[in-house]
Order: sequence, then C-alpha cells, then structure tokens
Amino acid sequence: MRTLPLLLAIPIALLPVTLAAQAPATSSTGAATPAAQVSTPAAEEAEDHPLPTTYGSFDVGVRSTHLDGDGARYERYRDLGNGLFLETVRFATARRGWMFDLGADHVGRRDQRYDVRVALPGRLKLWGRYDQIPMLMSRTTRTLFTETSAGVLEIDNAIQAQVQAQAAYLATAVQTATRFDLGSRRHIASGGAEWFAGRDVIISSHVQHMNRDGDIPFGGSFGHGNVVETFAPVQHTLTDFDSSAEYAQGHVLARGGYTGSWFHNDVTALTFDNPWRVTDSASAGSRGRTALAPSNSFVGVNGLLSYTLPYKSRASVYGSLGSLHDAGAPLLPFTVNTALPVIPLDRSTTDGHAKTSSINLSFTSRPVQAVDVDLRFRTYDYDNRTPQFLVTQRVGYDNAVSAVTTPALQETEPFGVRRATFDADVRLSPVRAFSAGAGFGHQSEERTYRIFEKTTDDTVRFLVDSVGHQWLTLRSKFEHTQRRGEGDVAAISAELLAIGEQPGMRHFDIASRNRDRVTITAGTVPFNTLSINGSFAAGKDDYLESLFGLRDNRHRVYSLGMDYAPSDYYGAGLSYSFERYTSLSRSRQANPGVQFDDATRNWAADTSDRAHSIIAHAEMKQFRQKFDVNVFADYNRTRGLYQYITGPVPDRTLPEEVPVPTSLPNPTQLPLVKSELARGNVDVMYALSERWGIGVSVWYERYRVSDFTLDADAQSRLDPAGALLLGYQYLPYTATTIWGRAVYKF
Amino acid sequence: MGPRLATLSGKLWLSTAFLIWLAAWAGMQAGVQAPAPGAGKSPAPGNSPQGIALAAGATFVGEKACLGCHEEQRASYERSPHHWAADPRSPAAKQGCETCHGPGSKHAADPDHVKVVNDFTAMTPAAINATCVTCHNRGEHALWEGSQHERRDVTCTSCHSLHKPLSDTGFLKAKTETEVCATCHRDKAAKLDRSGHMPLREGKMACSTCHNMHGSTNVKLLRKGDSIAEMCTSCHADKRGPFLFEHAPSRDGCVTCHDPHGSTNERMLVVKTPMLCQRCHVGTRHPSTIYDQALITTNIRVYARSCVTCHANIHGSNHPSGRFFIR
Repeated sequence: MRTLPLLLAIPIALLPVTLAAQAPATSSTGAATPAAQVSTPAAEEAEDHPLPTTYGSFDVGVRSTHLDGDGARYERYRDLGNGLFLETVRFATARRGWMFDLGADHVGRRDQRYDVRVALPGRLKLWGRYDQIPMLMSRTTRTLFTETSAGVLEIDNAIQAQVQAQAAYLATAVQTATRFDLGSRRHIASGGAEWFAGRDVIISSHVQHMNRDGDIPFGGSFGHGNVVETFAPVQHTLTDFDSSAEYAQGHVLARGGYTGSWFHNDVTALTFDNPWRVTDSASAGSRGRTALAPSNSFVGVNGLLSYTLPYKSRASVYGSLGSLHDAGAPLLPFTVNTALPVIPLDRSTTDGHAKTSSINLSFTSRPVQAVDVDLRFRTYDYDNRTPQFLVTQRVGYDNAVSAVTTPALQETEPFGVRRATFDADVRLSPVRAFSAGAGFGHQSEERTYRIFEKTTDDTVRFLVDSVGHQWLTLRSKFEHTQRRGEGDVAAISAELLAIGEQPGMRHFDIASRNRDRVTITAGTVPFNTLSINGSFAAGKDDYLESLFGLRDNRHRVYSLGMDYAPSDYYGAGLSYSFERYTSLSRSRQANPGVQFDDATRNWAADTSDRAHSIIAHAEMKQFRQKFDVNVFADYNRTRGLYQYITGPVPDRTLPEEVPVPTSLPNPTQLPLVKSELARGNVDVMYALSERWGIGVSVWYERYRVSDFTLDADAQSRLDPAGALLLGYQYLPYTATTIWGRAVYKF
Repeated sequence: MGPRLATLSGKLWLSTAFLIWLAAWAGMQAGVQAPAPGAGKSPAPGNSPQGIALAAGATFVGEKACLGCHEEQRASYERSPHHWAADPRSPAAKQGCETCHGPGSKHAADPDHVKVVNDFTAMTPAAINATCVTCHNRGEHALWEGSQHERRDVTCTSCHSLHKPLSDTGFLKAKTETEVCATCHRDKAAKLDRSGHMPLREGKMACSTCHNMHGSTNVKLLRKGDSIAEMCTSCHADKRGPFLFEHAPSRDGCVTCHDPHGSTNERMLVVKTPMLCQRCHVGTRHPSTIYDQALITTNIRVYARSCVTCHANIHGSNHPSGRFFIR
C-alpha cells in the first residue's frame, strides 16, 4: 500500500487535469445555461459573474515519524508512516450543467479515503466514497497461538504436552511467543443518490458495504485457575441499504422509507487450545470452543407525515416497523471436549427473531410569538420473539458436564422492552431575547425477564434562556426525574436469591432512582472580535432503594472558553474544562452460607474520575504577506481513584440500614489510575506564488499512563499464575511527526 | 413506600400541569399578535427595527447591485449551492442575495443608514431559522422544527456561515464539526481526547456520523434507528443479536456500560472493570470480592481484560453453554 509508484502515479494522473485547470475556462458555465431558462434578475446576472468552473488543491510531501514507546496508540485509527505522502486532493469542476467534486485523503495509506460527488443542480445528486479505517490496538502483543484455519487457534502440541507434564514449563514456552500486530481494519464502500423527481418529490437511496478484517483481543477460560487471552479473528461484512421517497408540497411533508442491514460473520466459532492440556479428559479439555457473533439481518420500513398548521404549528406522525433475524446457523454442541458425552440440544438453531416498532407523534406550536408549545408522544417496542431454550445440563469450561438444577437458570431469557414516552413543554418569551419554560415527561417501560418488569419515569424540567443579543447568550435547564420500579419486592428478592444475588441488589439501569440535573451554558460577545463562553453541568443519581449495587452517581462539569479574532487574518482560542464523576457502589464479600447474610462483610467502592482538558489554538493568515501559521495544542489529564470502604459509609448509608462494624480485613487501597495526553501541532506555510505554497508541520504527542490493570507493571509477564496473556497493555509514548509539504491550489 | 411515591408523583404531576398552564396563560396575556398563517415564506420576516423601519417598501435590485459593494461575500456565495441557478430552489434562481436578505433598493440607495430587511445579526432566532427553512425544509432538515436545537433557539447561523465558512464542507463556522459542536458541548469534545475514543479526532467520524443536529426521529438526535441500541448496532452489528443468551443492559442500551464520546477506560467503559460489573453483580464468591491492591497483580479477575477475560461474550452468546457468556 505504501508503494512509491502509487504515490507518484496519482499526482501524475492528476497532472493533465491540473494543466487543464490552469487554462482559461473556455466552456460556458454549467450554471449559466440552465439559469438562463429561469427568467430572474439573478439568472441574467449569472452571465456577468460566471462560476469558477474548476478549482481544487493537492497537498504532497515527505513525512517522518519519530516514535518512542507505544506506536499502536499513536496510530490507532490512522497511518502516519514515513515516506512520501499525498495527504489531500481536492478537485471541483462544472461541465455542461453538472458539478463534479473529487476528493482523496491519505492516498495509498492504511487510512485512505476517496470521495466523489456529482450533482445536476435541482435534479440529481450522486456520491460515492471508499474509506479505510484502521484500528491498531497493539504492536507488542505476543502469543503462542497460531490460527491454523479460520477460527481455530492452536498451540504446538509439544508445548501443551510439556506444560501438561510440568506447568512451570509455560514460562519457558512463552519465550517463543510470536509478536504480532493486534488490530483490524474497516474497508467501507458507500454510495448514494438523491433524485429530485419533480419539484415536490425527492427519492434518495444509500448503500454501504463494510468489510472488517483483523483480530480483536478476546479471552477464554478453562476454569477459575486456567485462563487464556487470545486474539479472535474478525471477518465481518455489513451491507446496508436505505431508500426513501419524500414528498413536500405546501403544508404537507410525507416520507416513506425502507432500510435493510445484513451482517455476515465468516467466523462464528472460535476454538482455542488449552495450554495446560494436550489430551481431552472427562474433567479437562485440551481445547475450548466459544461462539462468536452470529450473522443477522434487520429489515424495516418507516413513514413520516408532517403537516404545517396555522399559527406556526406543526403536527407530525412517524412510524416504523422492523424485523431482526439471526441467520439460522446451527448451534454449536455443548462442548468440543471429545471425552465428554454429547448432550442433546433443545433445538438446533437459535431461531433469533425480534420485531421492532416505533411511533412518534409530535405537535409543536408557536401560536403567538411569546408562547412556544411542544407535545410529544413516542413508543418503541423491541419484541423479542426468540423462543426460550431449555438447558438442563451444561459444560461450563469444556471440562465437565454439570446439571443445571436452578429453575431460573434452565431457560434462556430473550429480553424485550416496550417503552412509551410523553413529553409536554411550554416556553414563554415575554420580552425579546428572554424565555422561560417548564415541562414534564412521563416514561413507562415494560421489560421481559428483568427484576422490575415495569418502570416509570416522571420528569419535571424548567429552563431559562436568553438568546438573541450579543451581550449574553444563556441557556439553562434543570431537570428532576423520579424513576420507580414496579414489582413485588418479595418476588424480586426470591428471583435474585435463586441466581445467587443479594436480594437487596437492584440493577442500576432499571433501579428506582431520583435524578437531578442542571446544565447552564452562557456566552458573551463583548466586542465583535472576542467571544467568551462557559458551561456548567451537574447531576446526581440517587438509587434510593438499592441496598446493593450502584447507590449513587454524581457529576460536575465546568468549562470556560474564549475566541479572539481581531481580523479575518488572525485568531486565537483557549478553552479549559474540568470534569468530575463520582459514584458509590455497595457489595458484600461473601461465600454461600452464613456469610451471605452477614452485614459485617459489607463494603463499598467509592469511585472518582477527574479530568482536566485544555485546548488552545492560534491562526495567522498572510502573516508578512507570505506566511500562514496555525498552532494547536491540547492537554488532557485524568485521575481515577477507586477507594474501598468497609463498614458503614459516611453520609451515604441508607436510612433504613443499621450501621454495623466491619469484620472484613482493612483493604489495601488501589493506586491512582493516571493518564496524560499532550498534543501540539505547528503548521507553517509559505506562499511561493498565488498557487504554490511550501510548508513544514510538526506534530507532537506525549502520552503517559499508569493503570493498575493494564500497564506494564500490572502485566510484567505473559504467564502469570494460571493464565496465558497476550500482553496487551497501556503503554506510554512520545511521538513527533515532521511533514515537509507542497500545496498547490487552483 | 409505594403509596408515598404515588403521592409524590401525583403532586409532581399536578405541580407541573399547573406550571405549564400558568406559563401558557401568561404567554397568551403577553398579547403579541400572531403572525398570519404562511408567514415565514420568502422573503422571510426580519425584525431588525432599523431594517423594518427604514427598508419598508424597498424593492428588489438584483444581486449585481449587492455584489458590487459586498465583494468579500462573492467568492463564498459563488461556490455555494446557493449560486446554483439551475436549481429552481436556490436563491440564485429567485432573487439572488435578496432571497434571504430581503429587497435591498433602499439599502442600496443609502447603505450607511438603511439596513437590509433581513439583517441576520439583528434578527430573532425564530426569524433567522424561518428564513433558512423556507428552502431547507426537506431531507436532512425536514425535522428541524421541534428539534431539541430549535427548541432552545439555536439558529442556523449559530453553526453555519454562508459568507465566512471555515470548513471544507457544510459552510461551518469552524474548521471541523467537532469544533462547532464544542462551542456548547465542550464536555463531549473534551472526551474525544481521552485514550479510549472513536476516530473523530482522526477525521474518520464526525458528530454527524451518529447525530443529525437538524432533528431526528430517534432519541438524542441520533441519526439512525429508533433506540440507542439500534443506532450503535447499525455499525456494531456483531452486537445486534438476537442471541440465545442475552446480557440485558446490552440489549437495552449500550450507554449503560460505554461512553461513546470517550473514556480513559479500555473499550470506552464508563468505569473500569471489575468495578463496572460489580455495580450489578454482587452475588457470592468472586463477583463480591474486594479486589484491592493485594490482588491486582495476582488475580486475573482484575488485570488484563478483567471480568471479560472469562466472560468474553459479554454482549451475548449463541453457545448452549453460554449462560454466563464464558462460551
């Protein structure tokens, strides 16, 4: 891909076009001819001011990257490799009424992109894109596994045999682990058309085909004492097709659409060797096998009807129906372990099937300038029709058959949700540039197979805005929401106990909750050259009935920014933001038996994440007439603290909870999770002529990280006790990329 | 607890209903005349006092007269679709500059004292938007009216500048979409600089990849689907299922565990594992264990992929032994 010939070929291929572009435009403008058919003053004048028929640019040069540390993170979604580059190509022209736009970015690189757009103004638009998005996760990962065929990862049998005989041999074996790049790449081809089929009708279609290949980090287990990290092959394709017809005439807007999405996975199972065993036995397998993502498809239709009513009112109805299916691939057997008996499957396929539907009704009105009314009703239904699957025996780690005796665990739970939301808001603007409003919302959700099968959210909100003059732009909003789960507490407790959970635990995504949120954004433009804006957001979620699980969640976000632009040629900006997220979750360290009910074993995790971000930029155009200078810098610093608390939690103990002293040993607190990312770019361009410019760019990035689960200290070896890892880590880096470039504009 | 909540909820409803009624009544008492039906059609209403007062009765003069003085606006105008006279919906096919700015004869005659009818720097947000949606009322923009942004008086000119665009496409007031959106959503933009992020800062995605800022039928102005999960799985279709064994939060909403705007945690999780998992799984044995510093380098449930080393199919599994997403 990075071949020199390709890099050279493209500018050469563009040369004739470029030369043509430099020649005087001899043909009449595309716009002028049709415009002449429209008898308007503007159309007549178009002949006096013909369109610039051809213009564009390209940016070519040489680049060098110096890297110290983790190159994968620096280039996670991009390719900044050394050598020649053709960074951007832009070309636009008009011919015989048609407009053409061509673009290319990062030509020949792993993140290349090509665009083409064609338009016949007022009649037809066509576009196409080919895009590659790399996702490079690691260049330092190492593994003993080799993919011998699609989805089959094997370790040399000799190694397995020696490790089976003597587990300590794994330490020797990992010395032979092969280093490989862990990552994947998406290749996306897309295209679309928009056809103005008459003055009132637009028909549009979009098709996209994405192919993703590579590997992602994955894991497998042969029991609590034997765990492997593997790579899992990714060979996906996703094809999407959307089409709609829209009719707009007078007060009516109507739209009908079709959407289809087909996902195909070439590898739907992963088999991986057990490093600790080379032969199957009735208590341990030499391999494990897991399912990977199933192929599936989603097809839907939707329609929208919107009608403009008198007094600046509008009523809209939207509806959609969809159907989601898995592709019907046969289910894997319970185990790949040949020493175990075959367990009959309840059925041979998943039969995964869900129906979706949605209805939106909305009415907005501004009957007088001072009043604004907004009413909305919305439903969404994910009706999971996948039949339950009976499992009375299972093979958890491909190592032994066990009976599933708990009735709650014998059948699968095809989750579904039905949601209905109603919102009503009124806003008043009694004087210019000021408005205040209030509203409420009610949301009802019914779910299948959750501890609360119904929850309701009631929200009140108030807002005060001042928009429309330069001295102050203010938008503020306060929201209070109460969510309550409906259900028999005794039944919920019994259900949780049946699956080994504490009866006082509530899943926080559906737990009863009081939520308060306030957001304020403000801006001022004291001078035409200066704007200042800031924002504040705060919120608290109180899971007031959750004895265990997430108890509360809070956030505070502050930001302040300014932009200064004394002229079209100079500008600068600076912003700072601070975020703080805290949460408390509760648990009880317990084994089955007496510990399960022992409140002295309660503990809590107090989590705090803080982030500081500074972003600065400055631009100078035509500095000393010849120079364009752009400077950009940002700095991001985060700190994560996970603090364990045993015994009662000050200020956050439930009112009904009886504080008891702890019987747990005093935990050794976790170290801070720290990361810092500093980036800086300086671009200097010198105009050799009106069309040619040369320049130098310097990009600098510095990343520092300390993470107790993922940094090099946490993973000092590939074979920690009972595990075989990939060595996927968070690593620091310092990178500098220097670009020498020539830019041509025409 | 139930009756107490019911009472509270009832009070909440009554209070809200009363506030809304009060607000509506007060607004009606403000007595501002309702504009006639159809107001907002071209030429759009402007309410710059000076413009209205002094430019009243003006007539169209044609864009040649406008561009004769406003030379600096010429280049961007001529490269914009507004200048595509072949498109009968374009300003160039109508009254040129005056399609949006209103008849300019009086302004042309006395530019120092008379503004154009529609002076966008002085118009109300509603008037600015009404001008633009006269034409931009289909496709991408069809649901602007009633959208979250429109409801909060964000105007087209808050983000777009036809005459001084800084972006390559879209006539944005900044070089990139992210910069424009960051004007208000600065916290979201800051998250893009975290180690775990989607490829926005690399230019492979933009805010509009997921959101249609001009209005949508999905929540959170999401561009596709009818739920958050449908939006996410429109690209991450490998998580779409339906699976034999499903993990409830991944079915209900990806954002329960992930922050799509960015995070310092691996896989853009809102909290590190195992603490994230322990928010719901507090049962016996290892889900309820305190993983303190003494365990972080010795217990596989903490380091590396933590819980998902074993529970690798955490979004769902089609394996008959996949109850706990280990297979």
